[in-house]
Amino acid sequence: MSEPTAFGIDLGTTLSVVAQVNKAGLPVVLPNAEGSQTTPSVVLFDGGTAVVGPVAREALAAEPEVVVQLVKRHMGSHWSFDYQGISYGPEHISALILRKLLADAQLLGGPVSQAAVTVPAYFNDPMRSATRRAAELAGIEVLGLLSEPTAAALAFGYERRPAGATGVVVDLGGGTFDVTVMDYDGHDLAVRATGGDYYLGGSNFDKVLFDYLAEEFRAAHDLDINDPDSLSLDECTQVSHDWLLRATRAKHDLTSRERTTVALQAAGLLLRVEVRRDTFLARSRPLLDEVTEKIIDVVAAAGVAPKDVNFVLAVGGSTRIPAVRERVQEIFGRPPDTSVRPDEAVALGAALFAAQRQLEQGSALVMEPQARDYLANLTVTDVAAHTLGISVFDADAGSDPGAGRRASGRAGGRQVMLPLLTRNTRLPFDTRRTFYTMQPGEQRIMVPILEGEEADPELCQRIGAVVVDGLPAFRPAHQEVLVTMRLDRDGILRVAAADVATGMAASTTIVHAHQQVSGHAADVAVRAMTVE
Amino acid sequence: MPHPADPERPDDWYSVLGVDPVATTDQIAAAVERRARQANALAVTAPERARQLRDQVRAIKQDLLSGAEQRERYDQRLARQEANAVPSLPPARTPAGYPAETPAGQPAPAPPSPHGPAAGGQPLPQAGSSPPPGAGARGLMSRVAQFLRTGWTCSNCGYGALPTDKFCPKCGSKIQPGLGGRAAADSHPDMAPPSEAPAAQPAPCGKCGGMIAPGDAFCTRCGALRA
Repeated sequence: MSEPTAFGIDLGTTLSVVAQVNKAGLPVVLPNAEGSQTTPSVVLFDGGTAVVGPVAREALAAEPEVVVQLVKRHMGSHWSFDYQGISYGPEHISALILRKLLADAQLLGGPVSQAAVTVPAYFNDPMRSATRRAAELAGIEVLGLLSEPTAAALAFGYERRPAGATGVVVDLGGGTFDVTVMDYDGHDLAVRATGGDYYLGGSNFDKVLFDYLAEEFRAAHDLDINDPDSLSLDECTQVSHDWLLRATRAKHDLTSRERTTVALQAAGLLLRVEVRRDTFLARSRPLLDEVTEKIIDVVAAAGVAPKDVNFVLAVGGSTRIPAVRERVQEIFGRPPDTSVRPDEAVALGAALFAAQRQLEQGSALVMEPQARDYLANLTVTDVAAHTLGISVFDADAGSDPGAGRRASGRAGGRQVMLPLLTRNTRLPFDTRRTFYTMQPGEQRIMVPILEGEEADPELCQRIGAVVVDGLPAFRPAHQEVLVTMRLDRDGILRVAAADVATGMAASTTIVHAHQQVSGHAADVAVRAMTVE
Repeated sequence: MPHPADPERPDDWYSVLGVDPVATTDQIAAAVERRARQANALAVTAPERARQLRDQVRAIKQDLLSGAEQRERYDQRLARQEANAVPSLPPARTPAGYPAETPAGQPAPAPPSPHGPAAGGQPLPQAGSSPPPGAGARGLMSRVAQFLRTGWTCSNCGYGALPTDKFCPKCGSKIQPGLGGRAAADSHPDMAPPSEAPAAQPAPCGKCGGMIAPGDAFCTRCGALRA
């Protein structure tokens, strides 16, 4: 029995792409129903219908308040979009995008519901879990989550089969930035270090240009779109989206041209603004410096000298910005490899990864034997992008009189972050710790999970809590509970707990800090909606 | 832009929303929803306006969409203001437990509010009523969410204590570990914290010798009152 090959989905901040490994063993992009390789990750709400793609993006200028874009920036957060009495979380909007991608891909790729979905390497557990949930809501059987730079390297390596090489992937997408250093040897791809920023991408550069345009308009016409006396709310919403689209177009123009012109209109006033590439460059310097800094940091964390790097890949649409390429060249002394297409590499790699996971599950894929053999032997090892830990009371730590917090105002000891899983450790990774019940008869304990590189818990992010429930009743206080935490190979946190005295397993739940409390109505709506 | 959060001079939300003062809850909810979406849409391009809109939406939800009683109260305040152009008359105080500004579901990283469980992500049960039935899972989730923001909650006064506190720094009652406090309906207003200004200096506890942090009325280790 032969099975169709699973899809690889690059669920991007601005654009999404689906790919599949064909019978010849090559990953190919599946065009959407409109015939494009890429689908804008934009959703237009129109009654019971969700329109996804270019039509939705065009509607941004006309009715921005029923259009959702850049939702990936909110993954794992409490952000919501309220429409017709239902509150949609980021995973619901993403699920609608995925439903469209899946339906279109099935037209060409066959009745497939299995897929691997990519996430930024820097995404943490709540963000990855939200992505996984989005895929499940869309009816996708998730074979795995793969970090985007790792996917791009897979696509690159599949053609080149590098031996004993060390490579760097610089992935600057629409909303996120990742840098990953990896060793690539034949069938084995192992990430050494990764880092990035989940709020740095093409849309930050758009905003730089937008701000420039708004300043010029204010200088010429003394009109500030933030001022309610100048523009009504509806006008402000429309004007700002119109200008933002024009800013994006100008940015694209400036990759090939030295100057471009933007026509602006607001409150019946007109202005033509000339934007020069060096103006754009000067204004985006802080963003570029951040890119440089992150690359240098990650390369240092990997223990590699820039000159010893064998290949540098630039993926993500924003690496087309000439200044970004120049920065990469400055660091590594060579221009980035452009043989992989920046928009497609991630999806192609995801397709290879999906096929590999299928083979691992014992699927009978019909494929060219050499390709099949390569995929069957392929191993991909990723690392944790963040340090995870818990907050514990350290009685030996000196109190810090400078801080105004109550915890540190006490004599002797303070709360400290105790790392359980350190950044850049290979996945999967397990750790075990014993916790204690505090009260007689307690059947439930709660362990808050922190993320961050700082010793002070206040400077770390509380990403959620592990709730252990169902411990035996009627016991004195201070019972031992053994909690095993595992960051699985997809970067998702798994937890198990056992009562030490009885050896009984206890139930565990991971509650994320921003988890939606009332998502059920939206879950139902997302499945029921017509997606076009 | 109207200034939010002055209960003595309420903004006229009906004219802000462009709806009739006798509009149904559904009509108001639809208008509020549209504003919330506009706030979303403006988050990047006009962040200042987006922020004001979000504050406004929060306040409107509080005044008009938190139950008939709440809306009636708002309508009365609004009518009073319209009747007296000079807002110097002391307004009838709303019953104790008038919820703080933070609405349900907003993980405000603000310091623990002495208003108590109102900041806890769940609408406050009206005093005297019992918690809504079947709120089990939601209740757990919101208490976990509260814990994540503020640490344990004192079951007596609702103060957000630190995970290490054994006694509430505000009212001195023993903190029951578990998942935060009981419902607000259980609290005893007669056991409210002492009303004098909070001390600015840390001081040793007269009973156990632990350190009482500035602002704390009670020792968090043994529950003794600050000397």
